[in-house]
Amino acid sequence: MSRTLVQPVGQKRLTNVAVVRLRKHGQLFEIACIPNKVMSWRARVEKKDLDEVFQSHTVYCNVSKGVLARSKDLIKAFGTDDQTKICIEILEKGELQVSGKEREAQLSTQFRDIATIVMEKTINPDTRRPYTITMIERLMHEIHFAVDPNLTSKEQALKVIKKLMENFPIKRAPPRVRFTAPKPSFAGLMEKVAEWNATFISKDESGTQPSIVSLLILLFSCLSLCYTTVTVAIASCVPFSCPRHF
Amino acid sequence: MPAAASSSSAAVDDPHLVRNTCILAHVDHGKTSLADHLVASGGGGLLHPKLAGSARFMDHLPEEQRRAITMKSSSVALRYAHPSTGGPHHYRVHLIDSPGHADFCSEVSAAARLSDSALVVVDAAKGVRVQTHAALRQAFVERLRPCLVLNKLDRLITDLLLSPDDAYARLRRILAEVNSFCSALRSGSYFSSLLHDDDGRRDGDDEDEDAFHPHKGNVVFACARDGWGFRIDRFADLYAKKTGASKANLLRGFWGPYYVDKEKKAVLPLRKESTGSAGAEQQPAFVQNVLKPLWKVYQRGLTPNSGEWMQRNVVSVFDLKVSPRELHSKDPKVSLHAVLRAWLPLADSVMEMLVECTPDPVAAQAFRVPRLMPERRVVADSDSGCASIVAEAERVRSCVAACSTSTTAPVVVFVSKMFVVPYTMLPSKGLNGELLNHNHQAQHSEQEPEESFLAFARVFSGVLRAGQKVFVLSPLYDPVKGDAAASGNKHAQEVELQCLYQMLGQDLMPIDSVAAGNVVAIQGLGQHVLKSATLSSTKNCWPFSSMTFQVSPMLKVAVEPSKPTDLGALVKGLKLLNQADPLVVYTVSQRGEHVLAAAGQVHLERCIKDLQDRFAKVQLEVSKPLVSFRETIQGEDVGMMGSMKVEQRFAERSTPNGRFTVRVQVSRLPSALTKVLAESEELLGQIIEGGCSQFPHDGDDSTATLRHRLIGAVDSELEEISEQVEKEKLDRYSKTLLGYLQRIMALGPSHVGPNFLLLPDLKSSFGVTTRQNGRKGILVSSRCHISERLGFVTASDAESKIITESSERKTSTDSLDYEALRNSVVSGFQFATNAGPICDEPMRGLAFIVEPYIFADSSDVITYSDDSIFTGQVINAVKEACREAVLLSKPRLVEPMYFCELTTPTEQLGAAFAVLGDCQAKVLKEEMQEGTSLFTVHSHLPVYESSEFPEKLRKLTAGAASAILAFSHWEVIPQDPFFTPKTQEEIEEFGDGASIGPNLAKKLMNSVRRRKGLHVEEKIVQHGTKQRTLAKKV
Repeated sequence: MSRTLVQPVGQKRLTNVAVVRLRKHGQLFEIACIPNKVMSWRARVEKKDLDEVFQSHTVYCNVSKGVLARSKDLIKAFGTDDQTKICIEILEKGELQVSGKEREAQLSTQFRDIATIVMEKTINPDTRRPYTITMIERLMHEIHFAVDPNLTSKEQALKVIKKLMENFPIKRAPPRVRFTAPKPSFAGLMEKVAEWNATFISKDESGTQPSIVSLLILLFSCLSLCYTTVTVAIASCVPFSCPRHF
Repeated sequence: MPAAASSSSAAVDDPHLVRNTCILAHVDHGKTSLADHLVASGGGGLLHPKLAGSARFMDHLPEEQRRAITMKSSSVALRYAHPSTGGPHHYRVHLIDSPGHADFCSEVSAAARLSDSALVVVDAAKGVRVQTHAALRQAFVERLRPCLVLNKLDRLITDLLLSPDDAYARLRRILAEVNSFCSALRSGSYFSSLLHDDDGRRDGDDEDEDAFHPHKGNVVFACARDGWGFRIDRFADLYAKKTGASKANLLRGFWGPYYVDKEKKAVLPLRKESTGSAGAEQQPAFVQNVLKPLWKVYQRGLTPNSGEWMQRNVVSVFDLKVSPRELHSKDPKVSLHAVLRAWLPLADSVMEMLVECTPDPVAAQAFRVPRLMPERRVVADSDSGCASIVAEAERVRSCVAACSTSTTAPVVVFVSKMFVVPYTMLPSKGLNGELLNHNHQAQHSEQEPEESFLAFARVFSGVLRAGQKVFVLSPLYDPVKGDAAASGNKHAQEVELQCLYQMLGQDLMPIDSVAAGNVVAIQGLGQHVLKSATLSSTKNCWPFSSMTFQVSPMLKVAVEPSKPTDLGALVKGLKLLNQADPLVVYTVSQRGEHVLAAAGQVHLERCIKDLQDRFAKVQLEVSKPLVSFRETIQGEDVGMMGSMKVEQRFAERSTPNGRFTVRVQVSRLPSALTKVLAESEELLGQIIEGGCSQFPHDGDDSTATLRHRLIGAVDSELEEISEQVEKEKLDRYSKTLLGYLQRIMALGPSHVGPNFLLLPDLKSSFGVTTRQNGRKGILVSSRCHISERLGFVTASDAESKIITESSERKTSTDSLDYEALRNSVVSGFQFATNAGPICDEPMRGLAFIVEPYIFADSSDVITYSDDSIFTGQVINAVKEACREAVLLSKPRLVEPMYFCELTTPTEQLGAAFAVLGDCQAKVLKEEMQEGTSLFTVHSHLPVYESSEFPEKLRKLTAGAASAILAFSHWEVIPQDPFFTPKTQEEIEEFGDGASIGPNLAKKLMNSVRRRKGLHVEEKIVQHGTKQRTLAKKV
């Protein structure tokens, strides 16, 4: 028999399948999706065409063996046997093997996200301006930082900042803190502020009550320590945080 | 070189024996080769004559030699003995070679400023080019006397194979072109002086005459590579000797439609009708007597074994000294060059021309003073001290005009650029052989021991001595004011000069004094002069007018070190570069970028290379600078405007503990109002911060003007739309706007931005409570601080309100708590306006009407616990609500626009428009400049497109067009960045949103979001089914 001759088979074979699994009521259900599309669907980027996401609107017990799910099981687990509806539910809730491009996109987005957070929270002590985002990214590569997709960006950003500070001239951006105090306790507040070696940005004496003085300062020491000392020392003073670049 | 030093100091005494000239031309027209020959003949052994033409002596930077283009202006002092009557005069010529490339026009300006005349070189084969025009314009602006060198005549013979007749026609055409351009410049300046209603001073001389004419002697025909050149008087001399005709007579006939009749020994006008038939007899004298012999020499000379012929026909006839070895060389070129160099020496004719046709510093400065030191009209003050200062300044000016070399005259020096020389290049021996310690400065600052800054300068009056103390005056210095500001003035510093050098190309020769009219290099100004400055021995001196550049630095890039640790070195290098290059602009942006602005691609490349190899010595990364955007919303329809009945959608947010709810409505401010707010940011900051105790009354000047400007902006907006809207609506709209102005609680972002935080309309919500889930909420009232500060609400009004407020607010336990709450609201607003919902860029021109409600606890008593978590929640709630409100009311992106003034010759107008169209510029107007063939096009160019604009412009218009960019305004992009078809019609037109055409706003938004790591709505794979099949079994 010729090698090139292929006998027709009575099967529709799927190629390039991303399997999404969902275990419900002790039963495993699977659907066959197109790779690199599931995350897009979940991010609501792909919202129009279901056929761009599903290989077929069929619920399986095992996609690779081509075993379909029994409708009895479907009704038991999902309360319906509408295949498309169930497919959508599995698509939303099921677990999947994240495919190469998806992971790549996810990691690079998170990497940039972390870099942005780092940029917002740090300054270059020489210029007193933030580093650019590309510089931060380069610094992060330099310390061989690897993104962990299971941790939040902010968590990782804080770790990165600590590590960067060990190796490079980079500093946490000093928080801007505004204190609001009635006039009598203003002198005490000023004393405290002077102790912390902080820089004044502005002093605002208006307010609904003319006796209230708000003070915008730049702190270089630990923030929480300041809060406690301020509230202990001058009871009627309200610290008010708004960390940002200057 | 003590001999040279003594001879040069002899020449110092007489400024009449000095010539300062620069060489200007288009790229590759032979400036540096020409300079080579002049150096070889007059440089006192700096360059062997054999190397002249190929050594490129003036291009001493390795980069210059590699690319074979000049990049830096450099000067050389030459000596020339002019064989005039009454013994030879030893002239001193300061020759400045300048770059021809458009990117280095700053160097050309620096060279032109220090010269009195310009040698304009034109390639006879290529003709007049763009930079030739630029050079002539530069010479005209700086009031230099131009001379013409028609170069590369040999190419007409050997490459283009023209007949002498055709060559003559070509030369005449080039000359006519140059002359017409010069007269256009003259008439252009005449027109502009009429337009600006100036004194109408018209340079009366040679108004109708041609600027260049061989008869005047200011045209040299040359070939710099082969080293020969002549003026027509040389040939006139020759024929006068040969035929015995008078030289003056012959000279007259050697250019133009004349021929020399050999029998009559006279010059006769060419008869038009007979030119064709009469043959050789009737050819113009220039062709007959000048070009034909040259052609013959070349044609015969390039055949092998021509030595014999040369010996017979040229060398012996003209009694030339040519070494027999060269003459009988195997290579015919060698013998040809040797003969031609001996016969028509290039350097001599050019030097003769310089001495005879260009002014000496005394004459030139008298002519140039109105340009260098424009007359100032000082308002006659009652202050008597002022008058004496003005009188002295006037005396200094007259000394400059007279080029006074007396030791009593005030010293005035102009520094046109700073250049860097490694310390190892500086001469180690002083004038009298003592060792110079150049490093004494470096010992103080160990970081930069190997580079030294020298000032490229010219003495305009007096005698400058090494070690002298002078004042460095910046271009902004004003002696009348400067006196009052005392010594701490940053525009005038006193400096002791270290050393003076005569420049000999790359080498420097120390000298101890320089008289007026000479070019000099000064050491010791590195820390005091940034790019250019005026030095003066007296404080009462007007600084020289700043130099004009033909292009402006508009190619901006951000530079970063490849290794982040090198940042410090880079910053230091950038500062050095900024000083060393007149046209580079270095700034640190608010985002921390190090932005470098250069004139063009080649200039930028050189700057980067300089940084990498010389100044910073670190590896660099170059990128486009970031473009920042703004966010706003689409304004309401004109018809809907101001109709209060249309309930705007509002966004509502609550804190997690349910104690606080905020409602936000957003509307757009008129663009005129936004503009005023954005422009007066600084003033606003002062008003808000400054007036602590005194509330502004009408007497407060700046506040009142600002108030009037704000109201004026509102009025102008109303006027604009008044035609489209009926009266009633207009009234309502104006009432709304003016109401806004009275209820401003805060501005944002950063307390001074162009966004309003408005209190709810008091009439409608006075003491309002709201019910939600059966609970009663109380509106947190506040005062409109900003409106008070700006005086829209009088203080007494505010007071009365407070009284009513406080009386109503009986339940409030502690006013401080309310104050904190209000602060949180304002902070939330500041956060929101600082980072909008589209792509976290600041908002612009929005008014947020914020209604904060506080709800009672279950215990029905309103107490505010001093809990910072709650404060944070309030901030967040307000921020979220503001952003939500913007998203609800059609958000739009605002992009910055440049104003672009583009100058282009008529031929390139089409190409220039193509570039503008390509960069999405909006053309405002185009007009022809009066009296010239140049077009000026005004347009608005998006900043986002501007990084590629200069390069595109240069490529498409062959470098003919130049543009100036300046920030102009912000413009809303009308497209919706979140556009998806919704209505029936839209769906019919665009489908279901799967395939919408290019959306500029969306593109920009996504690029910013991607840069910031924000969420980008983008499919990872466009077509799922079209991916590569990985499985093998099919």
